[in-house]
Amino acid sequence: MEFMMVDRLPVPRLSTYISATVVSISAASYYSYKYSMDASTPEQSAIQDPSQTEDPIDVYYEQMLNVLAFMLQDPLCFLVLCNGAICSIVMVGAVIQSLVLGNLRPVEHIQFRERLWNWVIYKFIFMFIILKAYTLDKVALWLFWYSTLGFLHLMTSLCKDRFEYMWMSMGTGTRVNWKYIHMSVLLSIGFIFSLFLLNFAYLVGLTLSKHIFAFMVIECLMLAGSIAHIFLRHYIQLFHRNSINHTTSPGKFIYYSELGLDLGIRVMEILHYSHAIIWTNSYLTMAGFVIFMHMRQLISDIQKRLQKHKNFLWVHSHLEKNYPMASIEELDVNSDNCAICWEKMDSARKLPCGHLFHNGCLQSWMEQEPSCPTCRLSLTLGHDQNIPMNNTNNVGQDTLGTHALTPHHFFHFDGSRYLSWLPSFSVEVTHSLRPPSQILTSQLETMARQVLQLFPYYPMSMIIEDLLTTRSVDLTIDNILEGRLVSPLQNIEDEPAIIESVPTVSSVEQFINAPSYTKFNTNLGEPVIDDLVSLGSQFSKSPDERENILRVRKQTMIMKARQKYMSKVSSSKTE
Amino acid sequence: MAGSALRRLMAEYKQLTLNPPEGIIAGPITEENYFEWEALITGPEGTCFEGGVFPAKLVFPSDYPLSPPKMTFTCEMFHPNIYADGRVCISILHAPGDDPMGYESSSERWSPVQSVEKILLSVISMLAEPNDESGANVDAAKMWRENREEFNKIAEKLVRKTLGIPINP
Ligand SMILES: [Zn+2]
Ligand SMILES: [Zn+2]
Repeated sequence: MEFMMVDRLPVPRLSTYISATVVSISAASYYSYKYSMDASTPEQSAIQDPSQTEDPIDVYYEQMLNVLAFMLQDPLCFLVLCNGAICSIVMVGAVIQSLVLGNLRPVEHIQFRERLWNWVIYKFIFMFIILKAYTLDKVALWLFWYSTLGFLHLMTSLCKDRFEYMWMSMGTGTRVNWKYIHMSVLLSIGFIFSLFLLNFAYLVGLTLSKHIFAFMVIECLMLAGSIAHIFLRHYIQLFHRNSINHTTSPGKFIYYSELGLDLGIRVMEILHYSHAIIWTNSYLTMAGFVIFMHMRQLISDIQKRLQKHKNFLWVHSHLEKNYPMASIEELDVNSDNCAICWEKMDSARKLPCGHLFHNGCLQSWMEQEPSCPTCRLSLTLGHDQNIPMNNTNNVGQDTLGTHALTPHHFFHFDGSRYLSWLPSFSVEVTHSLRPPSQILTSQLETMARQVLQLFPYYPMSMIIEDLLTTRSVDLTIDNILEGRLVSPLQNIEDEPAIIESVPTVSSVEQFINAPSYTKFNTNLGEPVIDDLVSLGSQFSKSPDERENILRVRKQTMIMKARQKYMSKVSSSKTE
Repeated sequence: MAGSALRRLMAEYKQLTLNPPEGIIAGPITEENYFEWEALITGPEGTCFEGGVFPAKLVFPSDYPLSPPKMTFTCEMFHPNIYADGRVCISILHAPGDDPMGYESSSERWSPVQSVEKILLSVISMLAEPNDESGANVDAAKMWRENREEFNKIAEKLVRKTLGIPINP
């Protein structure tokens, strides 16, 4: 159930919540202690039997019991106690989260917050409108039930998010495997807990009413189902990651059990809601409306999923019926990889246009669009034989070739260098040759040094800038003496605020003189940059190294572009 | 499925590293997440974007290469085919199903045989030659058609910005 405003509601910090709970509990106990003392003093004074000296521990114990009994009777104190119980569950959750998942990523944090509020708001509505929990013992029961269930649900969805995130990274190593194991253990514990809750529903719910028992059972089953779903999806992911060729798919059984779980969870939810509405007869209430909206969403989800499944079946039979698998000779002739996954083909399905693909790859593409990925030949029935075989590369070439046909050819790209089906550009590269600006730069530098000796407070960049216009040391010195050139350092004494608006880089030449400009400097040092020629043709096996190499390559590219630009500017300026 | 998408992305990254096309560097932002890349694109020579190094972000869907990635420039851009928020609007990045502009033939759209490299090369040609029929940025398209000089000036400013060079007075 989605509530619009939920993303704006803040979640209090854990420490704040815990301290607030502790304060409220101590306040409640103090209040009830005082109250129960007040209530019991007249009694005690009435009895007043000096011969009966009680053991002080017994008195203490009795007082404690009194206080507790009072707290349980007083609604406010009772709720405070319930909050304390929920707080301890939250604390357990926080510990588990930090042990198993570590810190949450910002996205996970936002999603967690949304889910938490959705859960709290929805279950609140459910508790008071559907279950009509108006007595204290019922409130306690449902608070216990929903906080435990919510705890498990939130943990499950956190694990699900984390699993999905981990599938996106390349990491395998032992550390990652340990993480997988941790999370699997956590999920298994969640699964076992859901069975415990089922048992609890049998013991408690059944004594209350059959309807309540049904609610509880369905809630447990939904939790167990979603955990099983995560395990299944994880298995499928692992299968896709580790299968070397795409000839096999995870198998019919896995496919159908995923489909079954997907649909099953939603059907259960719909049953749950319709049961609630019918039982409480709340068709025309606000709660009924909210639930109806949610059910509509669920039904459309189910429809979409069924449509997808129908499509899958159609593509599957269509492929089987119309396009044969490629023979071994055909595979030998074709040395290309599968164009969809870029991996080697040990077996492949052959399309009428002559293109080969893995069966699994083609299946998943066809579910999306029935056409050949390479040449766009339509693969719906009836169009199969209309397009001649020799059409194979022309259409694909047009995809990028349109750019090559236009008058500005500026880039060289030979697609066949990599794979035969890649298009090739015909290109002309125009290099406007510019005179090297090195001599000019060094001249400028010596001139600037001369000026600097006289005026050490002036920044080098500023002097160079002025020299670029005056082209003479004497004129620049005159400019400084006559105050036409103001040093930013002088401004500090006058108006300290101005220094902030003075850019750190005030001259273009500074880049030429200082190639390792701080903004783009890294701790890698220059020797790495010098090795750049070799870096280009190297793909490290270690992720860290890859990351470093990529970073250095990027920096070098920017630096070179800057130097090139500078030399262009300075050469055009001095012309 | 994320598993096969991951392997394909890895293969593309490897290819782009070992055999980098001129003026293009691309790779995952962190090794932790292969579904978000950063690409640096050099402005094509002989055009108003010449010399600039434009950073862009590529976000891949979990069913890549069945669906195209989304590409956004992370630097300021002024171009008929780039939205104000940096999103790139070229046919190769559109899934076969959707056609927001209604002018593309399906042969120019995304298909799994396309790749990051081809996307980036298309973007380079787009920088060189805006397609002023698709109005991702109407102002830029109008200026490109009617006031090329002003357009070039803005492009020059953007180039300087990407290089971190202050605009000279
Ligand atoms: Zn394949
Ligand atoms: Zn084909």
